[in-house]
Amino acid sequence: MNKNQFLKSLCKGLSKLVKTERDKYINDYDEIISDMIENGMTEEEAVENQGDIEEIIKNIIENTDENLLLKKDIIGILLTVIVVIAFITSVVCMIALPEAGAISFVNSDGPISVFFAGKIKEPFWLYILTVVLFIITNIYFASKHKIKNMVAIIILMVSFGIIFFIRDDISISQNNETTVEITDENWKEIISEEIINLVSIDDYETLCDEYCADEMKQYMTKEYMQEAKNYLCEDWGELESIGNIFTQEVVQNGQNFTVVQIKTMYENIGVTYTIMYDASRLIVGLYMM
Amino acid sequence: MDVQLRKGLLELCVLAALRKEDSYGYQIIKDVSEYIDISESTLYPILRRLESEHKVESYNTEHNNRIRKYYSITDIGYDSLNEFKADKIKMLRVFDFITGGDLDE
Repeated sequence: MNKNQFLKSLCKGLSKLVKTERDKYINDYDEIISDMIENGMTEEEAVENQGDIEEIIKNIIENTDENLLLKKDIIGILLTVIVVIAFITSVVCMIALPEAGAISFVNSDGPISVFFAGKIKEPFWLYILTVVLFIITNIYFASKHKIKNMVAIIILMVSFGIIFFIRDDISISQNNETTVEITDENWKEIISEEIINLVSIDDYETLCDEYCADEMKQYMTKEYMQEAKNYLCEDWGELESIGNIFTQEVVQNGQNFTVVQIKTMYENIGVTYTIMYDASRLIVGLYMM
Repeated sequence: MDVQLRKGLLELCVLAALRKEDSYGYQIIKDVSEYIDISESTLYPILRRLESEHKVESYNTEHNNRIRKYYSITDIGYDSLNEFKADKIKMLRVFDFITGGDLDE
């Protein structure tokens, strides 16, 4: 065996050692074999002189302190697996689940009804659990001084946070085509967008005349609406963007209604509109949050 | 020589080899071998242990275009040798006891 083969075998046999320790021994043997060669031996002789490589490896490992040996960190592996599963599940929920909304509307009967239009609720408990798991795992790795692992977990946490905050924008949530009861027409989008535009420029006359059902007309005044808008935010600023539309058909008191929810972005505030239409496509409810 | 006895003495022997001047692997083995059997596979773990006990320090130098690691004894290392020296009388008495007579026999 020549020197390099010897050193390679040694390196393999010492894989249980942490790298710094292992490298020390490789250098030791490299040095002493070279010294022997320098002092007259041939490479073969010098290598043979070291003795049985298995014995060498055994001796080194026996004499190496526990904490310089690489052990399988079972707890760490387990924690990481759990955290990753929670993370992936959360991200899938964030992206694939449509947002649920609490819909409230005012109808001519007086009382305000509140119900959940969306069938699938976002599992916030899962998000919270994921964050808790992140924290626990980080504390564990901190206690074991495993900086690289901590960095990895922190990067995951940051990604989690980023996805959480932009989840509505990247959501592939159901639109008209995919939910069972929703029909394939675009009147909801067109009318809703028009309504939003009118509200944005405070043109309640047109809004009233063209889109409102009779019951709504008393509420659709400039004073009432401006008060409602100011309640959310003093100056909304310009309308910047209109986001995805989420619609649901509901039945109440034997009548069919369509509920539309749209997220919008103004200069100074993000507003989610919830508009309820009756069967004639007139507004019977308008909610801004 | 008895394995346990050897083990105990080897560390001290390595320290002794560094007493007068710094040395390196190959040289240490040569020096110590004159008094007691020692191989590479026993020397290096000993050096690691001595380093972790701060009885020995190491540094790298260049020799013939390769790196040579030198070892030097520290104050703590000297203390170990001196402790052993202080025990010399006691040690001889123990040897005497074990051998059951004069040391010259």
